[in-house]
Amino acid sequence: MKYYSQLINQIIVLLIINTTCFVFAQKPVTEFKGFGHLEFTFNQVEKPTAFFSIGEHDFFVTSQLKKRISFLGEYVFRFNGKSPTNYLPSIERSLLKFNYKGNHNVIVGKIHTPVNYWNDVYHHGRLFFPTIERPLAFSYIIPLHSLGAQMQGQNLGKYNFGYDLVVANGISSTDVFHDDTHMSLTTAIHIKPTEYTRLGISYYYDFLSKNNPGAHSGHSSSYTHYTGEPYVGSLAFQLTSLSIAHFSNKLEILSESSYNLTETDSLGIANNFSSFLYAGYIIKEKHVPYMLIDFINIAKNDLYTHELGIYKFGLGYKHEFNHLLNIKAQLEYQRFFHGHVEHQQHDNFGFKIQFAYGF
Amino acid sequence: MLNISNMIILVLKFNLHTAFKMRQINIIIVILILNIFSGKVYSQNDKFTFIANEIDFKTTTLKNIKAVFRGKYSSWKNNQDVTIVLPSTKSENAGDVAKYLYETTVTGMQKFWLSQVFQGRSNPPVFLENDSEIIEYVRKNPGSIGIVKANTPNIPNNIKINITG
Repeated sequence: MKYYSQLINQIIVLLIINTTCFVFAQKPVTEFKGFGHLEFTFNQVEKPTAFFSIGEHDFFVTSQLKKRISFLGEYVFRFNGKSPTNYLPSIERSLLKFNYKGNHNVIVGKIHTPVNYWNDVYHHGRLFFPTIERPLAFSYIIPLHSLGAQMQGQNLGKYNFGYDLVVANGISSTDVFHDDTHMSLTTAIHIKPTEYTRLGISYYYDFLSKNNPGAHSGHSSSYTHYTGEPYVGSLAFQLTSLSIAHFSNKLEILSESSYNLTETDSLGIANNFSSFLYAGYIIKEKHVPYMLIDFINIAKNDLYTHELGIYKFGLGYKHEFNHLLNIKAQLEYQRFFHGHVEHQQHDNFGFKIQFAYGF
Repeated sequence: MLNISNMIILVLKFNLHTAFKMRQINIIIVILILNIFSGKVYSQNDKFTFIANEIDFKTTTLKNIKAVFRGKYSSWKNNQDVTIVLPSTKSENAGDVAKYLYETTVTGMQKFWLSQVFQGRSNPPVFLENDSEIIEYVRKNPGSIGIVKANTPNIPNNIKINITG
């Protein structure tokens, strides 16, 4: 009896081993993920408003196409009142990465321009955002995307040195066309002296021969808020950014600063600045009270973004249910202290709640 | 009265006894020396054993292996892609591994990898439900590196990684 029992056990074990071997033979090569968010907003400008809204919905695919060559795609659906369906899809990233040696890669495709920590690390899904919204600069002077070729290195040496060198279509291009032969150039370096800290600096240059708005200049690009007569001459655009990020198990700090210089024949050099500071303290891995200070100042003689000045203060709380769901509540005060016709000086008190999720 | 033959026998017995004791002492000293030198080399950690297939090293530091598990390397020197193999949320080891390698919870470990993968900076790790699955996966996939409990039975010696202090 005992002999038969042992024999049956051995057969069962062999069957389990055979089954698992079959499963493991099929190495997972493609992964799909989705991210989305829902918001409630209360604003007090002149007339108070309160509303719920559906945020961007972000679909991701990563795939190992062959040894050392991988693909990453990011597709976003967001509300757009001009669309017949009220929604417009967009390809936010679509890239092929070739890992040619060690931690060195060549990337071709549409990428997030690696000018600062936020744009390099976070994607459109709000799940990883430390605050409800991006820093103000992202709506005006940060060239969010680049379509071109990138050399990338990471985690090199003792201090985890990383570099990015990007040659791409400029800000004024779309995903399928560029109106001149000038390419934008991005150079960025960073180090990670500890596991949780990253320090980075970058420089971006582009020459816009006709100052045309393109698909890569930000989701609220220069012309979407400017109602005056657009400048159509040539413009040189430079952006220098500095990022300090520290995300440990207890403390989160992110500081993003940018100096933007635009130069035109008609009004000369315009000096623009932006600065963002976030600090959060993690309590028992789930509760994160945080604060933010955000500031942007666009000079009067700037012909790309046009005159603008905003500062913003916020206090918030994030609760993480797990790695796929969090809720953020944020109280904020925003002051538009100078600007062109659309941004007259005014104050704005707001309260926002955001559910961010992954699936 | 002790005669000469008895005397000789006693002396021989004493010598043999001393020699045996000396040998014992020598053996103890050798064991002590071996322990002192082997004190910094473990074939496995107290709690966990690291296993890998066709990677750059058979012996490494705990610091380095933790860096590997945090996505420090994209590929090995032998041109194999680095594939990290970890216990999934269904595994009873997941919490201990998250704390040991990432100093966080299972949620924190998964958040870390979700963020890494969708930054486009790392290939996704493989999450498996138990140690025998992890061993089997690593055994069959060159370039893969995994972590299992030290007392897991039937870990092939040829895939074990030695950790130095």
